[in-house]
Amino acid sequence: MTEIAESAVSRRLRAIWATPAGIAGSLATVDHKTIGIRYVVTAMIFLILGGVEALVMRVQLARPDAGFVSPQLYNELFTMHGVTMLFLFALPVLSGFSNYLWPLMIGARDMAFPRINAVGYWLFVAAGVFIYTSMATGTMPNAGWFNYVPLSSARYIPRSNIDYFALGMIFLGLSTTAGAINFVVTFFKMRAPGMSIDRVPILLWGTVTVSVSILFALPALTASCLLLYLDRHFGMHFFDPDHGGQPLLWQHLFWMFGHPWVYIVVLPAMSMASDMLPTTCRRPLIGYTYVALATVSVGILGFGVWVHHMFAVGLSPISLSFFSGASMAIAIPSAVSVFAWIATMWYGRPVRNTVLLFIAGFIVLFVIGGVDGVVTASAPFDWQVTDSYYIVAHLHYVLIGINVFPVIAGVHYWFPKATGRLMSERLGRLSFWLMFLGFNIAFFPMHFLGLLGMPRRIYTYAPWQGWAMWNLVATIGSFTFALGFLVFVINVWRSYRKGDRASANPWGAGTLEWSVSSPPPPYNFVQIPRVASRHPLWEGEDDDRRSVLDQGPALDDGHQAVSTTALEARPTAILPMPGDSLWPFYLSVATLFLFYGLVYDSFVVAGISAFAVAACMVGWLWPGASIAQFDEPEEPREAGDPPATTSSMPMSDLSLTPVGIAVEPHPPGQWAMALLIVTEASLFAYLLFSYFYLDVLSPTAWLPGGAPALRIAIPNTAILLSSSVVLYWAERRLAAKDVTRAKWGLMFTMLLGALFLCLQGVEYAHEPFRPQSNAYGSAFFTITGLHGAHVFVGLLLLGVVLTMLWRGKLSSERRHFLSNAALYWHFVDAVWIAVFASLYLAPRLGL
Amino acid sequence: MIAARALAGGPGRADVFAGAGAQGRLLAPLGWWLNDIALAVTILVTILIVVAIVRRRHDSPRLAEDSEARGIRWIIGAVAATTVILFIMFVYTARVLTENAGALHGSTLTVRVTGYRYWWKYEYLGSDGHTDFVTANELHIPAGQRVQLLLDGGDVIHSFWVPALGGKTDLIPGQNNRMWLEADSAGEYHGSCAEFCGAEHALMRILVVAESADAFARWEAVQRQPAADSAPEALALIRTHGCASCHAIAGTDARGDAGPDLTHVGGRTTLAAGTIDNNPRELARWLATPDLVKPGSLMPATGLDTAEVATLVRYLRTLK
Repeated sequence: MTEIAESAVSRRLRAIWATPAGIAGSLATVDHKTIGIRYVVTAMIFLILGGVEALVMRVQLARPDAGFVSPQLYNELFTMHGVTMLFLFALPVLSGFSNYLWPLMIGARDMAFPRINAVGYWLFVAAGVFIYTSMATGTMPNAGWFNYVPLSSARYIPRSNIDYFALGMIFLGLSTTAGAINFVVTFFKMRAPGMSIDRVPILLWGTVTVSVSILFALPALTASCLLLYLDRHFGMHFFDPDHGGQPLLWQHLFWMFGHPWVYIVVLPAMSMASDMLPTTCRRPLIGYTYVALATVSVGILGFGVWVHHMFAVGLSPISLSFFSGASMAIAIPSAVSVFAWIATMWYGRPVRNTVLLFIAGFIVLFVIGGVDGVVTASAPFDWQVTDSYYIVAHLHYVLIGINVFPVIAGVHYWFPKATGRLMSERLGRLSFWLMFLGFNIAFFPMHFLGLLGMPRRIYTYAPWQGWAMWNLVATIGSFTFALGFLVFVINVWRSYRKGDRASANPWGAGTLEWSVSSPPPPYNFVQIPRVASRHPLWEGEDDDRRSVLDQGPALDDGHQAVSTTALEARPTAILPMPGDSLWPFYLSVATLFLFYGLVYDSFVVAGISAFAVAACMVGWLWPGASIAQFDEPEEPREAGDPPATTSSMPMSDLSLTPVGIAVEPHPPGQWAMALLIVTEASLFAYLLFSYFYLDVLSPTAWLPGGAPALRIAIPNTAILLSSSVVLYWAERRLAAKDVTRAKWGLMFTMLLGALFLCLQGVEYAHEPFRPQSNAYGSAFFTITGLHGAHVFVGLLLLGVVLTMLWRGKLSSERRHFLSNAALYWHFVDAVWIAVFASLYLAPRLGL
Repeated sequence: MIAARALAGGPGRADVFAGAGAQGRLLAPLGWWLNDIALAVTILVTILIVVAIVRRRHDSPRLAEDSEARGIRWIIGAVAATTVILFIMFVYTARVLTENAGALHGSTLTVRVTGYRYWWKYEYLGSDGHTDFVTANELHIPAGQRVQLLLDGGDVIHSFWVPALGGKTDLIPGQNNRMWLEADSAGEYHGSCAEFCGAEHALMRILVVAESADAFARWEAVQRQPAADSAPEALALIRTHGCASCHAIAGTDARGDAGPDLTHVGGRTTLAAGTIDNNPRELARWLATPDLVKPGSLMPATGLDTAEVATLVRYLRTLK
């Protein structure tokens, strides 16, 4: 009887959640599982591209004085190899795993923002296409993946090589930021009832840690690439020492981003190992809390060590000591994870399968990459090994060891879930041994090469330098490693075609993703689970509190998901979720052409594309289009199927949960806006840091003609700040159901904003310096100009809200859109206070 | 590392453990010590992992609670040990930093080093701070004496690294860096540019020649001499083919400063920053086809015919 009833529910759910077949359907899908798999497959394609680039380099280096590739091509290859692996593979592959697994692990129907999820993927593909366009045009980035100035300035590399790098990084950053916001909101809002934050799989901790890190770190890369683009295309001088710029500013900004990035691309992979080990060792992870805390603290400490990439730039012994110590300290939380894994293996009963082999191999490589990392953290010895092959060895142990090995373990482990088929153990073991031995043969000798004096990034060497033997060994090892990877790819392909059928839970695992069929249905869970422990599938008959997986509400009358409280996961509302949409895809294509326009200074292409981008956004948000938040059921009602009795089911609070965004005190949209503000605030913080950095180190007077005048700036500040007051008033009016006054307030706010922009323009015309005059002019115009651009975006946002208000889409109960736009507007005003204090007041205070 | 120590024996070694100068001697033991600890930890943890996987187990499944508590004790102990080791490493590091900062001051000679794509310019400064003489790519220093190097990036960032003598320091445009160099005994020490600087970063090598005080004084005296203006035919070629717009030969009207000073080029052992040996055949090849010898070099095609190349080779060989 239940069987039939369930299948009726399943059918209804399938009709609601399934993506229609066909090209349009597959471009429009927002199913996190499809998107997750696409991320992983696309990232793997980039891994293969980057791997081929590496093999070409290894052929060139296999013997001294080789002429397999030209120096120029070699330099392009190692740059593209680094860019591809670090940006187009390492994070996207982990985003793919998290996208696929998170909702399944936390008992959710989808991510918090399915369409933002889709746009994240399409922007990633578009940015990858953009960066690889440089291969077709013969202008691949060629200044290394950290792209130091002045080498990367227009004077030394005038062609578009570096533009593909700088703009590509900004482009990809859009995708990464969208993904990070989505993960953070999903983490705090979408966990199934009962899944308090001490019950989530470690992967949740890993990915949420790096997502928060991304919001703070990525703006440093965006800022540095923006400044480089302005230097290269608009004659500005941020990095030009002849006009008050500083080459080292690039290094600080880049590594403020770059070092956190290293942890960003390894922590989720480590976390995957923490989640696979309990299954392969048949016992819960030992020290769950310690591992979770260690993960978070590595993410935080990662922000305090960027200078260890710069030990040879000529720093004082004090800062060398500090950054040496801080860098070594990161080994402590890392050791917590390593010993937790070993303890889990020790006290468990490990199943010696391919998954365990890759995890064990990963731990060994992690330890090697960790200890030689501690060696390089010692500043004085780092003077010897930095920029040598020792670092090449170290970074590959870290990145391949801690990213690629757990990822391959993860593919073997979750492949049955995603495809319904098991991978071959025989091929799996073969690929492991080829990869593990090949890797060590390739990269361990690079330590020796570094100690023997071989610098990194050289395309050739002479026989007398004594590096030939170990280079040949390394080349043999790298091809062995590649062969192992090929076996893995063959294994994936064969298993996908004709692997053994997998049950729902082939490994006997304990977490929620294994409670649904393999592959999972489009709606993930027929009933929303209620979670009572870390391993719902391992609970014994005699546990007092048991998870309930098959008796919850099905939410089968629309795209719906449960939102819960941040810590304890008590249900707060049942949210309508958006369905499939083509706008994310269109938006990404338009963005691609916008960036092409920027590379070639074709402002016609860029302008048309920018218009298309704006049109896509409007189309996405258009009131009356099927944006979820507007599809509210006519009558708020008590949601959920009535609980199917049985006294053991504490579902009462969920069944009483009200439906609709209006009842949610902190809806996901508000979280997302707050997080966007966090990352935008970081961007301005990095720009103001750049301003003061240049100021302090300026060899001549920083202000060319005294501090900028206050004649216009003070009234303009008053105008902008009063606009916030007016907007606040308009918000209150809407809350008090006074729609007419709210409209007037909104219009007046926009008027004040527009006035601010006009006066800013007048002030620009009166400044005695230009952006091209010197570094000061560049910084002044860039910071105030970027702020002005934010005011402009705020005006557009308020314009959309005004339209909604006019069309009756907002009301006192449904004013989240206005609240979010207002939050943004207040933030932009707050930024102005910081800008005004730094650029106008600080010079007058002698700062 | 233990293995690396075995690897790198023999005279004329260029590796970081050679410790052939003041800073090299300070850094080499630190390096051995750090790498040995790293190796020991790796071996220990690898053994632990292997044992954890293959060890025999009592078949009755242990109580989860019990092993959780034991596992935690385990983790705390191991992390505490790690912390102690790290702390010792840090103390050693800080001590070496202090010693380095204290020891490496004062010098008998100052040389301004400017890195260009893809060669090194050395300006030997007199006691009054003015340039005494200029040379390129081969740095001569008196053995057993401390030499101060003032480092400047002439175009992009470069990094000066002679592993046997010590660590590297970057040459950054617009920033005045300095480092000290001291070789314990006479000999040749090889190094390279260590910061990627463009197409021919690989062929931007360094040769430091440490000599006895007497030999160094003789070398200095030679370097101060201008070239004899006695080869009108060659000098005409140097003028007409544009050589003089980049290269200087003291005593003649060749005064370019975009390329290496050639006043005593005949006395150097290599050409093009360590790319080729300095002999008539290689020099001729370099003059005729610089883009084949060092493909990304900024030395343009000269358009010299074979006879002209021979004339120039004969002349340049006399500039000792």
